[in-house]
Amino acid sequence: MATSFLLRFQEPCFLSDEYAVQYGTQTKTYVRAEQPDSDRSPPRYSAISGWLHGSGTQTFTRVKSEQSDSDRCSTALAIPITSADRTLGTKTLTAIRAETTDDDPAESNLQVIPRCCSH
Amino acid sequence: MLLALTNSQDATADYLLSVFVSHQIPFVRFDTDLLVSRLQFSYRLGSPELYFEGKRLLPEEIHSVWYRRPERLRCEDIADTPEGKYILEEWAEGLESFLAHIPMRRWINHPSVNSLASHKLEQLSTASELGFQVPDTLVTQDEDMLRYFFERHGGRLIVKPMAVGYVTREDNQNDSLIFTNRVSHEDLHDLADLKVCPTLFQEFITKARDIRITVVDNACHAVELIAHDEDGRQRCDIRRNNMADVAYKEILIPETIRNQIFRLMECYSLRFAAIDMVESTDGVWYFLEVNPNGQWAWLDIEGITNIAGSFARAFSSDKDSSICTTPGA
Repeated sequence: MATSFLLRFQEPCFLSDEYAVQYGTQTKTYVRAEQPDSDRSPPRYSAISGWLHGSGTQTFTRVKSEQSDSDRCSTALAIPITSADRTLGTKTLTAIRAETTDDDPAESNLQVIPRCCSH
Repeated sequence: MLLALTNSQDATADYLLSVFVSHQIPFVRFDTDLLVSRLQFSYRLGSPELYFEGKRLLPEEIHSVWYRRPERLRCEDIADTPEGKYILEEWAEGLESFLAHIPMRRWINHPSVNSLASHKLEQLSTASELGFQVPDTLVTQDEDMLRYFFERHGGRLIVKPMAVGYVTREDNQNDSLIFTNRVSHEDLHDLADLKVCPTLFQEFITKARDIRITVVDNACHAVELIAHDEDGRQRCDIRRNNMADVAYKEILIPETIRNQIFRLMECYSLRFAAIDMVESTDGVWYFLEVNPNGQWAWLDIEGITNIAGSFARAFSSDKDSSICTTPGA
């Protein structure tokens, strides 16, 4: 399986309970836990569908929250995630579809509400 | 009326909107994961209307939109079938059409603005053009280029993700993290995996401190973050240890940096952003990145800042200006 240089540096996503205790109030923990810097995967803004859905435990989520400073919303502006749906099948089918729809897959990237059908 | 767009689990929205309650700032909160069953939408030419829990909402009545973390529309009464997804798609477009009647300048921030401001490498390009000092940066798949870059910086490099810093798996207990890491000589022995994808390297900055700068319109909250490793040096990636041992202090930033930050905000048409910088041990401020929908509430809750107050002023200003302008203009 292909891996990459950066993936050499991946670490287990694990925190001991000691850290939770150090966090102080539950409210404080909760805010940190649920608030990553990145938008939580509005699918239409994401090149990778399903990103960050299914958060897992609170501790686990908190680790994620502190880790992600990138905004996944933006990454797909030039890479419409719906394009795969439109290019399935044969070239002929793709060409026909391309000719028959006025929808611009990239247009959806400027929308506010993440869409379910992109998954 | 302020419209907050987010999801039901957004604790930052819980926090800020509770502040607005105490300040008697009117708002309506749309948790998009719970919204559909509580909403009705209609449109006649030029007149979109939403009924939210029986209350009518018109675009011209919404002086501000706070774009937090809306998620996909969901509805317990709509089956998870292709037809159900189609129904939600129609719902989303209706809601989207309503929101499209609200001018972008009333948003903090409009998602399209966030999108344009969210590419890490482009941020470095823009910041450099605006006069920020940025770390020397190389993105490459070429091992010779990496070796040259490594030698050029005396073996002092970091590697970090361009996109996200974690790897998700089916069993999320097995997910993993990727922090900013130092690159060692040993890491360069076999670079076959460098070809697999472009990888971001930067010169290692010997940091005196990390600095988080949160901007809301013309308010600028700068906080230093200090966390030392066992060797007494500022931690390479401040996020390690879940930031449990970080010491915070609100600081004033140099006028030059402040001006550059506001130029950056203007360049991206951002009204809000969380900007990460570091100050080196020799006093140079380096721009790292801008998070156009970044986090801030934890700094308020730590008692360091009053960013909520800046949001209140920003939204109050929108309300005042909307009174003075043509509705929908």
